[in-house]
Amino acid sequence: MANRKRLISMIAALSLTALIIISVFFVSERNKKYPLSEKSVIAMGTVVTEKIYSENPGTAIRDITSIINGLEDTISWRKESSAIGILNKDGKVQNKYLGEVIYDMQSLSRLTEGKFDLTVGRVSRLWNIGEENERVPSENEIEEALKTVGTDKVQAQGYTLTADDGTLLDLGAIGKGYACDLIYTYLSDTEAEGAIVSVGGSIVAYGKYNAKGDKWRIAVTHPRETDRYLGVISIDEGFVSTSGDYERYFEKDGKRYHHILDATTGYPSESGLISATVVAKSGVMSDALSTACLLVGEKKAIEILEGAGASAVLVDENLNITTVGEIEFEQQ
Amino acid sequence: MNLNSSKKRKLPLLKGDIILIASLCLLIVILFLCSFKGENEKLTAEIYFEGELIKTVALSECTGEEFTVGGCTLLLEKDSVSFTHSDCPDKLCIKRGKLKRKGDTMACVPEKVVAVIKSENKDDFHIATY
Repeated sequence: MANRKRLISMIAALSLTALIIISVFFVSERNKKYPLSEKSVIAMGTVVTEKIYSENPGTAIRDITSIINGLEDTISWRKESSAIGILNKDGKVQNKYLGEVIYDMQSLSRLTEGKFDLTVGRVSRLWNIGEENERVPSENEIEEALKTVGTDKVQAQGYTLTADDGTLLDLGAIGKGYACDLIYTYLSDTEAEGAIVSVGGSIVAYGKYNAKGDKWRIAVTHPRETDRYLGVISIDEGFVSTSGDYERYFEKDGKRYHHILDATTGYPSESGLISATVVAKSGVMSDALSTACLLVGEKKAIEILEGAGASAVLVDENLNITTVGEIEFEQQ
Repeated sequence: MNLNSSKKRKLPLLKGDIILIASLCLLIVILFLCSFKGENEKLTAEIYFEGELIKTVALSECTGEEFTVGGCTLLLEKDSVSFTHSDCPDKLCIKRGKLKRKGDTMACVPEKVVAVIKSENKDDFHIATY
């Protein structure tokens, strides 16, 4: 009898052990990340961090770098040979993709009552924020430059773009997001299980990084503290961009002049928001909306975000945090 | 019911059973500890030049040494890295100050130098937006 009981307890213990080992195996398999290949490079005048999660990454890292460098040849105003360089110089250019993007941005410009406008290039050149010769321009200079700004100063008809004399386009508010869109399209044609790429802080998250399908976690920079993050956003696939008054700025006579310029005044925005992180369905929209939020302030930003079906984390000058839409955000 | 009246019964456990149960408990403890490994953050700095990784250093081991690459000099301190010199015109990399969080990234674009802070074992997020 005693032997039988011992046998039963032994079988039970062994079964339990086997069960635990099998469970641990399955849990660890599901949590196992796909192999990571990563690199940080400079492209489009910014840092690009590429993380590819795949058994077979192939040439993905090299290809993504090439895609971004190729985009620079289209949208950089610094390159005279780029489509934007040609448009700024000759007032006319043929480009398959830019027409559609500029048309969408003109719609956003109207929603912001002209505060967000890609034709702000001449005003940006006056300030040169983040460049060697950054300065506060005179009121007269700003007034003159503002005459070249407005949605009516550039026209998109099919593949043809035309701009008025003196108008300069600056795609700084959408360029990184545009790159994210191209990267997503590229990744869709590869064997990569997942990838997350930062183009100067604008993020594209593609696929999954483990078999379980956990969400991507993206840290949001604190607009004033450099030793901690504001929090972490969790998303499936998607696009995330942040605009803030802390990234490129200079101070003069105790006043901070940041690079988010209001196209109606010609001066850095003073909307009460100092940081906006936007999650949207496309890279261009997340990038553009984050800038637009900073320009229009919290109330109008919520209205625009809801209309665009985007979600966001907004931070005002008193460091109050507001979340908009269905966003998974853990404050830290 | 008188509890004292119940017969005392010997548990059917032998030495082998006890060893088996002890092993099982030990296995559970090991698995539990494994799930918590990597909680202590160990930051490393990676420095890239012209797209190639040229230096990886554990920040906890740094004592303020300088590292020069391209036209830049970086100061490697305990728990931070910063650009202290650059031949570039805008000096944005120097203005950025100290990088000390996982995910912090700074580049001197004209000199093609990038510094990235990584964590060897803390896995709380994949990338940072800024």
